[in-house]
Amino acid sequence: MSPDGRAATLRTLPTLLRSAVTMAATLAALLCATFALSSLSPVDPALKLVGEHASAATYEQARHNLGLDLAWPRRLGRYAVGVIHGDLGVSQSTGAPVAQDLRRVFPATLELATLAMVASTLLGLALAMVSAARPGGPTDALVRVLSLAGNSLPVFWLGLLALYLFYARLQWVGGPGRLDDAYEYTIDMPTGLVLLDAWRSGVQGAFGSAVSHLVLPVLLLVAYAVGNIARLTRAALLAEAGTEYVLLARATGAGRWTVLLQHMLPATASLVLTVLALTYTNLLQGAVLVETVFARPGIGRYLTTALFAADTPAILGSTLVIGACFVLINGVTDLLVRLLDPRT
Amino acid sequence: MSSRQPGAWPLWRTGWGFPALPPPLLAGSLLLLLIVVPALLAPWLLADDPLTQNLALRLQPPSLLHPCGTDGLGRDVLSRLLYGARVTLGLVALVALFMVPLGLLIGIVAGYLGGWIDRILTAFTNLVMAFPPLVLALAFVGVLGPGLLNCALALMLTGWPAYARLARAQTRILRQSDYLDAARMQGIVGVRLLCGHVLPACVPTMQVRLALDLASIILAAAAFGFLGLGVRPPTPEWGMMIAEGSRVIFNQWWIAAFPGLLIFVASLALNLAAEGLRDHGDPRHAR
Repeated sequence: MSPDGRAATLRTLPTLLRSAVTMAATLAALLCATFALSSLSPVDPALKLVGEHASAATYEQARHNLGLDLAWPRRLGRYAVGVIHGDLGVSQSTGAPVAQDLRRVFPATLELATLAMVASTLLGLALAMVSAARPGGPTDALVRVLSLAGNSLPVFWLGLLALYLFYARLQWVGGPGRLDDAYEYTIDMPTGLVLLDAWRSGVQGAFGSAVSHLVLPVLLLVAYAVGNIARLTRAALLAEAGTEYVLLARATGAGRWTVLLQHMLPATASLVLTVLALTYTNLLQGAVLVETVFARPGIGRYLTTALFAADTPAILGSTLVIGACFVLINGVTDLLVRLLDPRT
Repeated sequence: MSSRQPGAWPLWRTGWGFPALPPPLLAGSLLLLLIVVPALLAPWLLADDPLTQNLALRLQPPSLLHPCGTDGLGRDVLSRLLYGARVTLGLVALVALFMVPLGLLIGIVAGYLGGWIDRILTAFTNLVMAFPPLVLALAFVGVLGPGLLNCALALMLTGWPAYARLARAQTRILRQSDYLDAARMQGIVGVRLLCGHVLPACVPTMQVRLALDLASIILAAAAFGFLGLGVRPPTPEWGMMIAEGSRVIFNQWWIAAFPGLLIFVASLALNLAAEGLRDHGDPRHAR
């Protein structure tokens, strides 16, 4: 390793360490929050387990087995150790371990949110650059309207109307669910990623069916996210517009687009990265409602089904997983921003 | 006018002695009034009771008698919409009433006292901010049981950190200012100093945030209702009306369409107001 490289490593090491500590602390706090929620729950898990007609001895035995007779610090300890070992309890509605359920449903949510993320990033950055190139132009107005609408539209309602129009009326796309019924029960889902599994199954038409069921949910999430990406990126770009390095670049004869792409966009990279991370976390939350409306099996639908059934372990397990995603996305972004931008 | 940003909306001057307002603020306020006033006057405006069922007239399309149609139990959708507005607006007001003071309190105390109290409060604020607000709020209501009060509590508990952050930043700036020294020299200290001199300085930055937050609280409240975590039936509520309408969406689309439209308009009104306030800049510098 060159001396320069070593110096760089030495500089980044404390940053890495600090990020890791912050992330660990936030995850621990999240664990405490879900534990507090489970303790506050009016549902008695022991009673729910043994039923109302059980004898007092059976009830006490169940309480003991669940660790409910311990003081709360020891219960928190047990809970934390369990979670670290991947034990999130048993879902009261599916009867399976929550961790196993979540492993099954989470990839689908990740697929949905990521596809929406990629599409809205590409579209959002393009819109931002076009409107920053000509502030006050028609694209500028479009960005404003998109961002206002994206922040004001109830996504689950728009989903319903879209289902009515594009599925029931026009029959352009697939309806609720992730696949047509003909494929839903015939193809294997080893990875849980619908597109990948449908492709690999080799079944005629399965991939097309997966795509046609995925189009509307993805488009909805894009509509929800693209305005904000475009608007915030545009603001970041415009903040650079009057600076001396941009003037210099223009003075050397570089065109509008060259300056935007080669000088201004890299300068705003850390800001844009933060915006994108925020969007990704918002999309994960948005997926909860979209999956519910489109009856797509994912962590969002798992969570809302658990909400209906007052299934505490499943609710808290899903919350923990989505929360952990938040912490990871924010932590990694924070780290990247620090490494990218030595000013921060 | 120095506070206005380039590219901001032009101001509309009415010339009748009203202050000039940016169009988004004006449009947002008008839209909001269009919802709030009928909601308040609902008992006097409407002939139909929102709870009266008439099974002979179920699932009627919009007509002169029932401008928004009737739902699956033959109840007038328009009157359910207006009464539903009361639930949503009440919830939003309740959340704002407690969330903002809580955030202000934590932020001002942290910023003013500094030291280890600041460090603890700031760390706590950052922790809560790192959680997924909507999912945590859903989990809160799901575990503690459905109901408006739990919805309000959940939204409050996940919403305050933004205000704490804003208030802390503002207070840190003010802490060493001559203006506070002058107040102290006049013998104004403690709570009176914080409430009379620090708090008002935090208000302008908070207005925009609050308008944006109220818009998203309306959406969150609707989501709670949609998922059946809000009011109990038969009380009308917009989100729940969408859920009821979703069962017949393929044949009677209007039952779900109208409540969603109102949610959109209410949320849009607040987002427009926020946009106008942001463009307007800090009111202290406006003429």
